[in-house]
Amino acid sequence: MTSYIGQRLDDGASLPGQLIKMPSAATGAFIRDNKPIGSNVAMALHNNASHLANDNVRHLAWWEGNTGLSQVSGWSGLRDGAAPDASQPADVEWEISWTRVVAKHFGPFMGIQDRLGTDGAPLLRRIVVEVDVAPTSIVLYAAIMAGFAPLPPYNGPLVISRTSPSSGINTISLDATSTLPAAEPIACRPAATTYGALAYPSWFWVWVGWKSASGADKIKSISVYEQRT
Amino acid sequence: MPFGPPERSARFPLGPVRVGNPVSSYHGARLVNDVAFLLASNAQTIADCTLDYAYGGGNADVTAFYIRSPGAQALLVGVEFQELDGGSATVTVTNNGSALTWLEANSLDGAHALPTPPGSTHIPQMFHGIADVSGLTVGTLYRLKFAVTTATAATLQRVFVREIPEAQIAPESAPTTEVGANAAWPFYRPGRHDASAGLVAGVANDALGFVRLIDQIEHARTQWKNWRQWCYPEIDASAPQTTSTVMGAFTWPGAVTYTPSWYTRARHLYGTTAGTATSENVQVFARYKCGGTGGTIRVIADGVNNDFAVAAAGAYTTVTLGTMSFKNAAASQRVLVQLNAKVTTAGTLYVPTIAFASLES
Repeated sequence: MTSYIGQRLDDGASLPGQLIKMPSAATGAFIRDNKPIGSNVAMALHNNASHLANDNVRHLAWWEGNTGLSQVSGWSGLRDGAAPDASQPADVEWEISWTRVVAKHFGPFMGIQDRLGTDGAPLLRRIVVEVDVAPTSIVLYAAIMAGFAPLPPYNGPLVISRTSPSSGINTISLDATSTLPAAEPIACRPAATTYGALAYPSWFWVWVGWKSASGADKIKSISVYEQRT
Repeated sequence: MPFGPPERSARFPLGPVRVGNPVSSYHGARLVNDVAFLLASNAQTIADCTLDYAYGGGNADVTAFYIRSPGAQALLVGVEFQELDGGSATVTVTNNGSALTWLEANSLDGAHALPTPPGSTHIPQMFHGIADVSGLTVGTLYRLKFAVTTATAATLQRVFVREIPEAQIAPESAPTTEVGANAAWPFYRPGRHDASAGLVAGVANDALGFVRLIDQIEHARTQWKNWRQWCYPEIDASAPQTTSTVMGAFTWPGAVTYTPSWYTRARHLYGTTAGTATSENVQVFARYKCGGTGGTIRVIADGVNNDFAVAAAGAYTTVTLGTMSFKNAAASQRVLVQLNAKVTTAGTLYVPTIAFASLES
């Protein structure tokens, strides 16, 4: 198992797992007080809970564009930022400014960390970014940033990808290799409730950026969604 | 006693659930935890809409659709503006035309002007509020309207809507409004009858018992929805539109006419091979306006056309277009979604918002 998902019946099938339809909960005639439930009933219940945990993953965002891209890194003319000089590390995340003329950002999303890391750590679900590109010469970036505030990826991405895309759909899988940092509190209940007023979800953002060398380049669409590995 | 729902599901093997072995309290305990995760922690992501460059700013209404899931008590809503020196706007977020009940309005109630980020800066600045949705009916469609009134030429950049996960749930205190089951059940009692101690059938509206667990798993199947949605300002110059009487691409706000290719992951619930897989059923909602004698919105899912007729409408209108399928048999359950449209005889069809939400019955 590559996720924190329970075992399912038909786990080895080409489409692993499926729900087992149960009789209506309103009848429950197959369950009796103080009698052990049958193993078939127990298996179906556990299977269904595990399968829903596997397949209740979330779509995150769609975007359409198709306008010509600026032939810039986005650093020029900024009041509140500047490209790093030669003495600083030439990290991927510094190659563009991540302004809105060279990037899009989506978030904040509540992170569900149920992907199994190699050391057993629970990691953020795989985030898939699909970018429809009409390139002549373009570099494509995709990154995940942790936190509630929308900080550009040069502040330290959880994971970042740099690719030279081909024309058409480019699929980028972002697998974070470390857990999201401690969560920030947020109100999650009406004020009158006497318990659980603040939740502590771990937030994240998805950034998609580009560096174009030709005014003919276009980003035609972006899709972002959670995926199972 | 309230308890915190787990942040993830359990890696529970089926091996211990064997014929001939007692099936006792710990099975129920695992299910209590997983049901709490499914309904209270795995919060719905409703909408994340980045408006096109070409939207020229000014007053605007933007609609995002929302159906409350049973575990949600609060909703995060937010906006961003484009950079502009000295710009400001008020934003009023309403629900079906009525004021939202705010836990934290943070000025999204129209009471204060929100400043735009200074020109030539690049750090996004978002404004967010938290609404109390505990009074909304689960399963009912609501229209969240972001009404932007600009004092200057401020330009809305993004809107987003999220359900907020629960920190604690207390099904034993309010079993009809709280999700999950009582974590103190089922209990282990040493003794002769330990295998059966605490095992009760229960009823769906009580907080304990296996019937309650079945009912809650059903909620996670039918009332948790995967949302795919985009939205644009309800302004004729900025909404995706067509005047063609021949089915084809929308003209998007950047004055480009083309068919974007969007992808999503289809939910897979039944069938274990491509031949037996049952596609994800989704309900389609839209905001639209149409001249002439109406038009047709076509959703193309993996090459399959789904045509939805819309009547003529002189003002932007909410419509439930119908249902359609997202195939889930492809690798990674990946599905391609595209949109086309036409008018029937004359006029212009505008579609500023369209949303797809899982529909399981």
